[in-house]
Amino acid sequence: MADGQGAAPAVSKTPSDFLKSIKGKPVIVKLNSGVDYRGILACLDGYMNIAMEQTEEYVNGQLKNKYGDCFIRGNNVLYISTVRS
Amino acid sequence: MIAPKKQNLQNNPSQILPSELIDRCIGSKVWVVMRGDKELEGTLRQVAEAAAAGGQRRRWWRRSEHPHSSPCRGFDVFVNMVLEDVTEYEITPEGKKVTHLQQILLNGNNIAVLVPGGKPADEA
Repeated sequence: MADGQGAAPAVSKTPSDFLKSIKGKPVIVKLNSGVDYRGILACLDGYMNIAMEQTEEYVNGQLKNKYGDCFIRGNNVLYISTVRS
Repeated sequence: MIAPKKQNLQNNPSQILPSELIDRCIGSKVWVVMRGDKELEGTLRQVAEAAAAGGQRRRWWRRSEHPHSSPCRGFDVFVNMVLEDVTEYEITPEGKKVTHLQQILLNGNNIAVLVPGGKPADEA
């Protein structure tokens, strides 16, 4: 059960396992600048480079933009968070 | 890796490595102070017993694929961390902004301080 598919993240553990387990799930990505991106995580790698779909950009908690597809370069990422559904 | 010199280690057997200290935080609360006006408090990912005792072959495979992370820690050599039940504090001119997050992968790049045991009550 390397890919913790359920809503409960009971099995994912190391950072790399976490990355594997959240593919295809709704996530919040916060950048160092404080900008939030919410969307469906399409793809990511060990650098925390991220491809997202249905992305919404939040600046100071307010929706500023929407992107169908977007790429975020990993060096900007502060954290990747799962979303309570 | 930051490691004490060998002769120091022999003189002082109680000395532990920084990574060992983080290891001891696994499963308990930890307070993370970031560079800039940001702090997080969360539980460092605990290893599921079954996963930790996974097949030797699978572990070998994992280790070879991800040489930077040991098979059962909630953090890696960059101190990227998997945290759960996270409270994020952003200190802004308008005051403290608090956000709750279920589970996060925190980039180790901006981590300044780790405090085992979590944020003291009078600080929260």
